[in-house]
Amino acid sequence: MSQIRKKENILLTYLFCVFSCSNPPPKTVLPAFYYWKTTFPASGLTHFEKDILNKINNKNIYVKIFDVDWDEATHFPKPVGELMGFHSKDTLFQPIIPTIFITNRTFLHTPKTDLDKLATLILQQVDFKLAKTPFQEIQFDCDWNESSKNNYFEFLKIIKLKLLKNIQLSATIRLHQIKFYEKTGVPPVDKGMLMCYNVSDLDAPESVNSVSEPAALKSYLKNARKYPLNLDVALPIFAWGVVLRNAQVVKLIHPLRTDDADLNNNTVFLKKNNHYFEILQNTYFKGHFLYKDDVIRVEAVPLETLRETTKLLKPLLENKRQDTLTVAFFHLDSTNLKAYRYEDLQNILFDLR
Amino acid sequence: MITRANAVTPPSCMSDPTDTTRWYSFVSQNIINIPSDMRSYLMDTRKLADYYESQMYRQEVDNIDEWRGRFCSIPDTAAIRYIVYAAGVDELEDLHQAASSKNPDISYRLEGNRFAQVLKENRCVETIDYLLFAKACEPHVLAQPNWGNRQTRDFAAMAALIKRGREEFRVTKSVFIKHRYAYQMIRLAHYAKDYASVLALCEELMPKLERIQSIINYWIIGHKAGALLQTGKRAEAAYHYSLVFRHCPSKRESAYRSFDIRTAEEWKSCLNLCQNNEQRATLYGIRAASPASRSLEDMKSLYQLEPKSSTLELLLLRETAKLEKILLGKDFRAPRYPQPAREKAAQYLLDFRDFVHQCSQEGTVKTPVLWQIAEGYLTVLAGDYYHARVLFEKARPLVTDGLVLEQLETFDMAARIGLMTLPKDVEGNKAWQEIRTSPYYNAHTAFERFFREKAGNLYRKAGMKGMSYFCDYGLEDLALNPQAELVDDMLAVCKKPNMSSFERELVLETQRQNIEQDLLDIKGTDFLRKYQLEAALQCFQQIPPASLKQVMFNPFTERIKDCVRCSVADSVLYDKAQLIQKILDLEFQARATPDEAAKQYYLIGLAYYNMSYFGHCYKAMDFYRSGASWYSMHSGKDVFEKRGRPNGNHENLDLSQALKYFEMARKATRDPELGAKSAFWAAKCDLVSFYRSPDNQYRIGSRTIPRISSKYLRYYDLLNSGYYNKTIFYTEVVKECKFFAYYARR
Repeated sequence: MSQIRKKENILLTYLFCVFSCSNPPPKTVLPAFYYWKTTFPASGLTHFEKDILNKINNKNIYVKIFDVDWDEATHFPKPVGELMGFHSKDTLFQPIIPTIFITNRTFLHTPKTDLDKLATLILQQVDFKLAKTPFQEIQFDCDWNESSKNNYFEFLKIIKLKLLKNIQLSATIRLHQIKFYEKTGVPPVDKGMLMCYNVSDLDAPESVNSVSEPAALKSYLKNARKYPLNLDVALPIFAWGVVLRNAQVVKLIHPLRTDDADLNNNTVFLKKNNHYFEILQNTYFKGHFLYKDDVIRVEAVPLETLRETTKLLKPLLENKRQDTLTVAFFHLDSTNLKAYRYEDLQNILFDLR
Repeated sequence: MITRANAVTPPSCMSDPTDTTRWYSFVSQNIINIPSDMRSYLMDTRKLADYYESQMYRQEVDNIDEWRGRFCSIPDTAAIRYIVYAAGVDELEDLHQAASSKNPDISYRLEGNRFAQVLKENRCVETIDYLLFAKACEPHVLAQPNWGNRQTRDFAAMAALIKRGREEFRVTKSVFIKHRYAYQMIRLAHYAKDYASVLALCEELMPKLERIQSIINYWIIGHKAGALLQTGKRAEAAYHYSLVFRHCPSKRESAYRSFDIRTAEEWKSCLNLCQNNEQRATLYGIRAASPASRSLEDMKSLYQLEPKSSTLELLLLRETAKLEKILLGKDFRAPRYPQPAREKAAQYLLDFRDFVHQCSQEGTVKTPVLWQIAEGYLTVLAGDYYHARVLFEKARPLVTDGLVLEQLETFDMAARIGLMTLPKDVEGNKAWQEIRTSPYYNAHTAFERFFREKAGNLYRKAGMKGMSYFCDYGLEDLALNPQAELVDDMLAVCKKPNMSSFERELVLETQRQNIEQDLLDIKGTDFLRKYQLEAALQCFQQIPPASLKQVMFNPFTERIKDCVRCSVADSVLYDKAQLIQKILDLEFQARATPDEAAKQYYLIGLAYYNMSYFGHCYKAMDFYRSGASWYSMHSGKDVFEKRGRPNGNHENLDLSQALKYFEMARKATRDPELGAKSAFWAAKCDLVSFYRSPDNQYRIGSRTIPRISSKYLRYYDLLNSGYYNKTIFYTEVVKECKFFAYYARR
């Protein structure tokens, strides 16, 4: 009898090993986009944008509906940068996830006793802005730090209590917040959205691409595997021009890509290399007045970089106990989308399965 | 003296010369004689909110002033403010009735209001009608609340009011009141987002009113500009905003924010709309005012169009201050900006100085001497201090304004400091003293810092690293992680018979005493932590015993649980010199009586453990212990970064000597109790080695028991072995130390 039991045990152990040591089952990857503009055009999304959303079988759009910032005048936070022209659930023809960006200083200034009131007002504002359109998830975006984490986390707890049980609460996780999570803490939410971009200092003169650079990204992700929260990922597809004046960053022009036809004007722009353009004479460009000797550093994320990023991410996300993984592209805009074929975006989603 | 180790200031309170938030500027904007609101559109954008608040008030004041003028200054400001802004509809209706009837008294609520009396006495029914109309318009033009469901505006009611206003405008005789009706109607149309009506009303009503000098004109132009912008007439909108910017202080800030030109064509069209050079100059002034602008080109255009423009002088100071931020003391201050930024700024400085020189020479600007002074300061920023002083010398006799003279002397002081050399004799010393005692030096708090930065650089170049360090940092900073070279350098200065006054100032601790004892304390403590006992003793012996006795310890005590803040009740205490002597004595006794050696070694081991970061006598070997260092323990390093402390903070994490003596004690003793104790303390030393190793995955605050690899558990295993686990100490330690108890149970 004991011999049989022993054999059974050996068999069970073997089976356990076979299942547990083999590759984990592929996750269901849900494509999504961020909508991060401040005005929703009266004509709605372009045909091209709609086409991509359809082809990619997009599931969700994270819509930044307003920001919240500290108001010195009232000594209480206030909504700013509200998305204009966005009226109802039909506007996007897609399930939306309301996303609210809250400045870090909001939580540095707001007393703990006001957090409940703030949470209530924000949820009311969300309802108002969405005209009571139902949603399954709400996301908060805040570049919190050690000093503000207590207030921010308390705020998230209050929000969670106020939400209906079936609504998920998520928060964006910036790279420094995952790297130093022992100090910055882990937000009390259902899941995090790891923002895999803005990897280096925009201001650093030696910076070539502050948006995405796999080696720099890797250094931030060393703690991702043990980060105690299920994670979705946000990948950059945006591009911008960083304007350097006297070797200091003075403004961002977005969207801007190196193939922008205006940059071919040789009397105004001198192409120094693939990404750098020197201004030869004072000029207005994309609504900005640029001075002679200014330099534009165009930063974009090539497809190869996106693929490398997914390669980095995949093993780090495998041990997460989540069946689905949302991969959100930042952000929904024709100029951004035209830089990639939709098959490329699909391959990226496939890579992360 | 520093031995008062506990007197070390917490790092957050210490000076931090590399702290980039501590900028300073010698440029004062107060020297330009222009209204403060003109100045404020160039100031820090973070202050714009406050500024905006003040502008709302300013708008009210301007309006009340006009009302007062209209009524021959008879009513006082407060009375007008109440009637125009605060009085309720019922009060105004009462007033209306009083003014329209022959004899009724004024309502008791307005009885003491002089403006109400004037309106009644003069039967100003037309005016009161207008005030009632304005009151009716008010709810439709209020700003929306920050939160919640914004009420949609009642467009029908607004249209009805516009219609009513148009009728009132037609029948009203007073141009003053007509003007205000026009404003109310145009504002209503704007808030109703009926931009076509705004423009139509302006077209229809303004020709009848334009000749009247009133701030209301510019308020109306502001609304017109807004409507033009909304209807895509961007150049026209910008032109109108520029008019408001130039002529209407209370709307200047909002006009500046709304001015938005996006293409060269728009810019050209906007210039073409201008009717004179002043208007064109305003456009260049607004464009140059952008915080990150490279204003020289626009300033040149502005100068051509309106050389006497106040904006031009404001831009002069703003650009100078921008360059100052990057280039001031570029030859001796720690750079605040990367090299490419400094190179670019230096190139720009040359072009900018040429332009400033041209303006000062041609003399057509509003205040030529200001340009001369600015040229001098730009020369300071270029590092040519001698030539700068020549320029200041030339400008000095031309200055008539006290504030401008003060600015000149401030700039000259910066040049004098830039020119300083190390004092080699009495004369040199005197020159430094003259600078430091000058009233201009003492009038500006930043000069002390600027002076020290220069002096620090001079000492550094002369190889006097200690003095250079002390120009920027203090004794407390040095004590965090003592550098022998700096300490010796400063000790040499302390012993100098002919110290310069500046040197004396740096090393003088009190009126009578310099920092020599503190330096000896730092030096001795540093030797002690390096286990160089004789050298440490030599330092401490130079310090008077009374000073040493300010801090006493007894590290020869046992405490199973580490508690660095818990004092040990003991009648026997040692100062640092006695402590070292005691260790040396124990060492000697151990060698002299090998049979007793184990006890002596054990006591020495205890002392080294207790004087480390982990023991209650850590102050014997350290001046500042940071609890935060625990969080980075696994890095294996013993110097931790401290903001603004160039050498960081050294923690005494090394327990090699303690471990060595515990091991010697364990091997030398035949007493299982002493052996068990020695093994236990050695195990604690091993545990620290684990914490400091990269293998350490355990983090402070974690509630889990750390997983320790076997190489760090040698002594715990030994303690668990049959030889020691029968001892009384073993039983005690299992009871006291949960950590060990866990391992014992495994």
